[in-house]
Formats: sequence, C-alpha cells, structure tokens
Amino acid sequence: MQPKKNFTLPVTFCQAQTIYIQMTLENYQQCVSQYADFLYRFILKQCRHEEDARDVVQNAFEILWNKKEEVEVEKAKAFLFKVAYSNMVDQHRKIKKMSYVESFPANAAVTGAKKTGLKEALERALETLPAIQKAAVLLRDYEGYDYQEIGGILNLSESQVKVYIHRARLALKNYLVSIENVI
Amino acid sequence: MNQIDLTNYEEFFISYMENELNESERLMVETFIEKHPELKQELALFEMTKLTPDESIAFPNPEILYRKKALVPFATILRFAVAAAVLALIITSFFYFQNQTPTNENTTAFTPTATQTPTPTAAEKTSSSSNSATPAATPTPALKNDLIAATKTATANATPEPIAVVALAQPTAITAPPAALKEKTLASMNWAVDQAAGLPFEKLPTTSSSTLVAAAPIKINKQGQEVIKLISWAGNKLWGDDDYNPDIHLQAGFFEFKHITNHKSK
Repeated sequence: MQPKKNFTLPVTFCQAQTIYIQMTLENYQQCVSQYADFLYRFILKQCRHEEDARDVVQNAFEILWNKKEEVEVEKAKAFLFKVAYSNMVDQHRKIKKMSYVESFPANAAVTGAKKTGLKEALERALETLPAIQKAAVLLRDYEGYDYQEIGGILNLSESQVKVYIHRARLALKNYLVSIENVI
Repeated sequence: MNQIDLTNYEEFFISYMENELNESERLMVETFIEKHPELKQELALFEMTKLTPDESIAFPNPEILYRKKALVPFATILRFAVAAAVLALIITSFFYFQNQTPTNENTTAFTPTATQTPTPTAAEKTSSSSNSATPAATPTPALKNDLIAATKTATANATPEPIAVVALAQPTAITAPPAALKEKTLASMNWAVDQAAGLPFEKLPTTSSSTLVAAAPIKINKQGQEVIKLISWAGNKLWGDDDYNPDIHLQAGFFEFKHITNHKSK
C-alpha cells in the first residue's frame, strides 16, 4: 500500500471569524469623557434643575452600559441623547413641569426685557420656546446635528424638525426685536 | 423653491442662516437684500439666534459614570493557578522520563517504560514491516474487526499504545529524522491510515485528552486521538517541514483523519 500524500492544511480551521464591532470598556469610558458634559448641558437647558439633569445623564449612561453589545460605537452619542431626552420627557410628564402646548407666551418678551446682553437675552428667549422646539434648536446649535439626526433623537420626521427649527428661529428673532423695541 | 418676496422673506432668511439653500438660492437672497437694505438688519437678527453652548457648564461628578474592569473572583484565579501547576508538572515529568529512555534508533526508544505490554510493540512490527515488501502490515486483526472491543481490551493487548508513544515522543525528540526512520514513519502512517479507516468514531466513547479533541464536533476515543497525532507528525515529515508546530499539525492530523475515514467509509 502506497503512503497517502494528500496532506493538506486545515483551511476550514483557519477561516477568519466574523468580527462584530462591539463597544468595549475603553469605548464606553471615551463616551463618558467626550459626551457627558454635552449631554448634561443639553438636558440642563431644558429641565433647569441640576439634580434632575444629573439623574437623567447618569441614567442614560447606565442604559448605554447595559446595551453596549447592541449599540455601535459611532452611534453611541446619538443613542445617549435619544435615551436622555426621552427619559427627561417621561420624568417631566410625571411631575408636569413642562408644557407641551405649542403656544408662545404673549408677555414673555416683556419679562426681563430690561436686562441687556445678547447671550442672556437669548437664554431668556429660549425659555419661552415650547420644549420640542427648544430641544430641536439646541441639538442643532450645540451639537451641530442635521435635521435627520435630530429627527432620530426626538422621534420626529425630517420635515417636522425643519418646521420646529424655523418656528424657533422666528420666535427667538421676534424676542430680540421686542427687546430692542423696549430698550 | 419659490421666488423671494416681502411675504415670504423670513422663511428664506432662516433657510439662509441654516445653510439649507443652494448657490442660486443664496444669490437670490443676497440680491433681495441689496434691493431692500432695510431688511438687512432682520437677517442679522436671525443670525444672532444661533445659540452657543456655555462651556463652563460641566457634568458635576463624572467619576460616577466611569466603569471599572470586572474583578476576576479569587476562586477562578486559584483554579487557573492549580491548572497551570499541574500542567507544569506534567511537562516537567515528560521531559524527565524522556531523558531516561535510550536515544538510539531502536524502537524500544519510543516505548514508554511504563508500558505493560508483554508482546512486541506495534512500532517494532511496523518498523520491521517497512523493510519488507508489504509495509502496511496489520498489527492486530482484532483492532480492524471491532474497534470498540479493541478499546475495551486496549490495556490488556496494548498494541496501539506504542504507536501513540512514537507519535508523541518523536516530534520533540528528533528534528531531522534519518532515512530509516522516515521509512518507518511511512509504514506507521500506512498502518495508522488503515486503522483510521475502520474507526466508527461517531459511536466511540468520549475520552478527551486534548482541547482540540474535546472541542471537535465528533467524539474520538483515545486510540483515535493517537492516530490523529501520528498522522499529523507523519504528515509533517512528508511535507519536509523542519519547524514542527504541534498545534497546527495536530489540527491538520485531525482533518486528515476525518478526510481519510470519510473517504474510506464511502
């Protein structure tokens, strides 16, 4: 009997396995160092309560950690904003701190109009906006998200986001005009 | 988009400052402002509505958000430490006993001192048969006929065991086998292939002696494992590869074993 010469390397054994890009501990720590402040500012601007904002941010990171196997690294920031925003809305719905009626307070421009400084005036103008407009414009200006990304975070369509942002800009501009008139 | 006029200019101004307009639309807005300079101030006001984040606001205590690496329980560390110690002991004793055996080319060199076989070893048989016209002589007919029965009486007969010892001892003991040894190897491999061909390994009892065999999708008994090792080593020698990697060639042996047995069974 002749010796067998058909020895081949086990290719199947060496075949590369599919690699899933999962969030590692290092990725998560980077998210904390990069996004915690942004997220906190975004939430604090809306709920105006430091302790609540802190809880919301902490909760968002807790959820990110628990779902780190499902969340892609590149989408972690948007995930955090989405989770934090919806958490904040839920919280404030419970305690009825926020009004979701899209109406512009009639005398909002007059209150505090005596104070000067554009930044302060804009801060006050922002307080007069409906919550959803405020969130949209904050994501736009603070984070530089486009309409589609904002829609993803706030659960809105792209065109809805555009409408809200346009209304917000108009309201903010009108507020500034009213201050000028008063001054 | 429509043409800009005094009824819709605000919408255009917002789109302008939001960077939503294309080149021609931007030009249209700029031309409109030139025609209506009183509205220039209004566009400036829209530009002023852009918010800037207050960098001084930061999350108060970020340390609570960071995570630490999960600590490995002490019991787990202890288990690994014990496993490492046992492994070290086995390796040390292997080299120790190997040094105790004679190093000449006689087949007894590859027979363990603890082997309880009263009969001539299979390696000897294959060695002698390699010099004859029929190199693939069968060591025991019992093994060919019924492997499970042979497994049960393996300790008594111990015919395949010396082959196994040859397979285990050779790769580390010899780097460049002489021609006579190569012939013996070919003969041994022929025998191993014959044996492997008759192995109904799906039905064999589980006896895992290495991680590869333990992780294998099929169950291979001790004897089958030794055949795999032999094929891997012999295959390595046939390739003429001087750098013997036990892990890679053990895997190769496993696949060849599967291939050969599948082929023969068809």
